[in-house]
Amino acid sequence: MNDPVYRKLLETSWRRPLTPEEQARLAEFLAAHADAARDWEAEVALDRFLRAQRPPPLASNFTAQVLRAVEAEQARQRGRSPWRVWWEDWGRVLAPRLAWAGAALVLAVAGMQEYRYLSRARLAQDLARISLVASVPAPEILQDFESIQQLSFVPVKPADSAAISDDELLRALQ
Amino acid sequence: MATNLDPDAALMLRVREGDTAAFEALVEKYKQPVFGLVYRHLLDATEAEDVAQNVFLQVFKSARRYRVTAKFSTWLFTIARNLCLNEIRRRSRHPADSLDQAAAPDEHEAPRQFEDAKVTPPPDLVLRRELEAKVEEAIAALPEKQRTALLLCREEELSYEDIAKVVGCSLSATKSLIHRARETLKEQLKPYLRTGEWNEP
Repeated sequence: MNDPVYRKLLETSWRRPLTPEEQARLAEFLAAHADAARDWEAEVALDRFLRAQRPPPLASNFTAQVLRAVEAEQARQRGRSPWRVWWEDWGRVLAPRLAWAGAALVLAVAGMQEYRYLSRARLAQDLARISLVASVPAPEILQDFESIQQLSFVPVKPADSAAISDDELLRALQ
Repeated sequence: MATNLDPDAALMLRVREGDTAAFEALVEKYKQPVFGLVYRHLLDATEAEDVAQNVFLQVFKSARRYRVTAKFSTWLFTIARNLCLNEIRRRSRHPADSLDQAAAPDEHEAPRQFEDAKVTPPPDLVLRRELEAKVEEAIAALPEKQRTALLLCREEELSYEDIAKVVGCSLSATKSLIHRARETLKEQLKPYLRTGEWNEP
């Protein structure tokens, strides 16, 4: 049964007996839903089973035994050095956290180092590229570069490429 | 803030200051529910008593670093559950060992009472015990989280939110755990539920 009203009443009944108002709401709902009525009967019976389950009685001197164990613990604590008391109270709790924090710090430092190394490598590559540009040929060698480049703009007629006139070539070179 | 302080947390703060009477009050209040939870996990009264005692000893030992961040009962049942799981793990590692063997005999310890086998119980009682055993068996067969959630659900001190914190699940998942546990029990105990032959004493 997934009806929210029934579900809410069911969840409440798991924790405590229903109030008269809740019982009235439940009765109204169950009257309209036969499936839910059968389910509710099983729930009530199961509740009865669970309530009847009792663990075996606890020893009557249980509290006294606990207090004796506590006294023994206190006596043990009195005999320990302050450093050991601190370690058992806090150190054991803090040590794993400190270990994790240390590991995180080591990872962070390693990451930073790696980042710096990669940055330097990238810088070195950029410098190498600049040095390549710096070693281009002298300007005199390239004096006719633009004229030669202009030749590529001369229209070529695929069917009759020989028909390009000298005039066109001269115009392109000008 | 002091007015909203959980009364058990207030007692625990006194324990932190070394007040043994406050600790005794906490033990008195929670010994039965803690023992009940532990017993249903271990199904051995003597071991359950030892573990329950250990739960309270842990509470005392942790008192100095206790901070009121959650309800005391939530914290207590979380410790109880963890110690149960430790004990179950220990048992699975060393199936032959028992806490009975490990524990030194204590002269102050009250002897456990056993039933006189010569006395024949009345038939109603026999039937009731048989049914109790069936229910106990069905609860024991539940997965650990479902069992814990189902048992804690009976504790008035704990809300669904508190139970969720103890079992380490969300609120909806916790309700689902309880629902599934109850469905399994209904299925397992169907013949008895149908006849309704078991009425409350």
